[in-house]
Amino acid sequence: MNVAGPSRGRRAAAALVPAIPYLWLTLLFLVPLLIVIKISLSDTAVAQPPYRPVFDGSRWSGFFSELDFDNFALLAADELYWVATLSSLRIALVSTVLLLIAGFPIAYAMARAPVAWRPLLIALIILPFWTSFLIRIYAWVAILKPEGFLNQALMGLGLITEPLQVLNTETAVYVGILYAYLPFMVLPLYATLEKIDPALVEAALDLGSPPWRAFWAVTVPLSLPGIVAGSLLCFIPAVGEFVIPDLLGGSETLMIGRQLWSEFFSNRDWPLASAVALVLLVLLVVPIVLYREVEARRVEAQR
Amino acid sequence: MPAVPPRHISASVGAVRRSFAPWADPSAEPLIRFQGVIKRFGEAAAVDDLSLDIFEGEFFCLLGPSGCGKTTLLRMLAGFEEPSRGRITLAGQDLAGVPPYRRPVNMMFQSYALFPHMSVERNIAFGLRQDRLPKAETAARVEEMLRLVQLEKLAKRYPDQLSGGQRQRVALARALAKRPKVLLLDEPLAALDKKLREETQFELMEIQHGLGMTFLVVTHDQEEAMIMADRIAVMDHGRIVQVATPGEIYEQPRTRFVAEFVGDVNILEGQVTGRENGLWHVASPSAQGELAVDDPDAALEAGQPVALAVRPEKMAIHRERPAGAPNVLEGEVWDIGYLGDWTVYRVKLGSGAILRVTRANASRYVEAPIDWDERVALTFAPDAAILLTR
Repeated sequence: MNVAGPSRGRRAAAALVPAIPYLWLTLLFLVPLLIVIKISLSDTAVAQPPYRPVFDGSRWSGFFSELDFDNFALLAADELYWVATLSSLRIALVSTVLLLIAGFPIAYAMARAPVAWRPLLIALIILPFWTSFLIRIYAWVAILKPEGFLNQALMGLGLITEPLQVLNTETAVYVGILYAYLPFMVLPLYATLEKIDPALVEAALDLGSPPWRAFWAVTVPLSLPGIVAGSLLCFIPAVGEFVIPDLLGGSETLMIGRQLWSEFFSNRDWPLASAVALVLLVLLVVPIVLYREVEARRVEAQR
Repeated sequence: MPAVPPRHISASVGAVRRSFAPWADPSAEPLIRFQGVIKRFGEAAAVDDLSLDIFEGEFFCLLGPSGCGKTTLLRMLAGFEEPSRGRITLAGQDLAGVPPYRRPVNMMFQSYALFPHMSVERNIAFGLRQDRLPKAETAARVEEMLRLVQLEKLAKRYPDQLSGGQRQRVALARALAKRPKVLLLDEPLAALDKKLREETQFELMEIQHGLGMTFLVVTHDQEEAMIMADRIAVMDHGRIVQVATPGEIYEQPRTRFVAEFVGDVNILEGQVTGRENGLWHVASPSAQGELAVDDPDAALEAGQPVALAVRPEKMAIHRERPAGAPNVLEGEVWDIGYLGDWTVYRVKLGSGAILRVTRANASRYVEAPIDWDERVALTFAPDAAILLTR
């Protein structure tokens, strides 16, 4: 009988398995991030690639030489970036609140629907992903433009006489974000709401709580993990959103993602664009870390 | 004919509070009345033309198999379902259209439904807060409830930090905190293991007697109902089959369903041949001679098919056919189950019917115990059996 454990070779192979994702993350996340950091600390140049110094691989010390914080200083000094960042945060925040207001009833109705219907309802929520994101946003251009469906419908009904200017306004950006991000709000909400035992709400009613108070005292606190997850899932990409403000927003709609795009492609200022990207990253990491902190403490408290 | 002395159900002296029988008092006003209540879900009637009176201070059990409508009945009283037809009144007030949060009843849920995001004391205080009771009074009441269910030390814990038995107590305390007119308990002990369940049964009874509150319990466990209840309503297919004290339910079941659902019973199919000296005579393919049954409540005619029901502990098992005894059935031992306090014999009769007989193991040693495959004779007294037509 063989009583020995797995051979040395097999144990080494077993140790390698968890190494694969780390290798993946290092190659595809950490290394590119380091490159972006390096570029953000470099200077622009009329060259290919358009920054100096370029790391040519001959000397490793060259990777870190001749770097400075000029780009970040420029960002801090230029009001445009402050305004764009704050405006992005504001638009993302308002959008997240709107998404929550729109998404909660949908998720709630789905969670209370007969069990046999639920897979179909989930499929309907996911269905838009079968079409390209870009095409769907272009469709909104067709809907919102002055001679588009929306204005034709409203004028046809006699509600308005002059076409509304919706396209190329901040309203259109909200419409676009609300439409595009709704599944990311609904699905996590649905996942938590579905798990709440209906008897809990009945217990609250039984103990003298009218339905709306039972909702606030039981349903909302118990769906908090879904509310937070859905909000982060919407807020974070919305801050950096570029396509929707570019296609639906007007020239006055300032968003940091759009600024980043124009620095990179129009001005070919890679170092400044990289600096913007890093500022954005730090801005978004803060709420995630805070959330994880709160969540960890909540789990700990219930131990 | 000599006067027949009045007979008493054996259990009516011990288990039931002797002086407490408001249902027998025609002038007593019931606390809860179901009058012709029907509840339909789609085509099917979960509760079918049901009438029932429950009196103040009763420990009342709704007993029946799953799907018999007992939980629906409870939920209608709590206000989670409205009857399709009929009336439910509580202390004279018609409950139609009264929402659950305005009914003076509280429910202990089968799943306990404790709020997972609230500590034990906040769970218990929840109902009191809805009533906007002063803070000091709420705290005092929570304290009192914690003491009642012996959970003072766990007030700050969360439900997922408690054992099953502790959760059950929190659920009970939360439902009692508002001092409802009626406490509704939906399978209150189903989630507990056997030992804990038995202890908790007696605790529930003590709490109920102590508070003098009306308890309405739904259960599928006949033993639980027998131990705790003042009266039991046995339900089947949305209807009440019998309402009586545990002793009456066991000793005088009205139908075969009740006899078979509550406890074990042997049923012999037969035909009434007549009545002599107050004894019914029944011919059965399972017995050689006629069987004699002393069941004065039965109203039968000669020739009527009838089911003769005898409980296993009311039959005796003999190795020799006893001389001169009435009601002898012969067969052979098919199975023996030794339970410690009891031994169960399964005896196969000549007709192929298998009967259960139990014998208390009153002494530790038996000289020559009855063995498998032995020929045996079973006997029962005429008044040990009852005759059922439904």
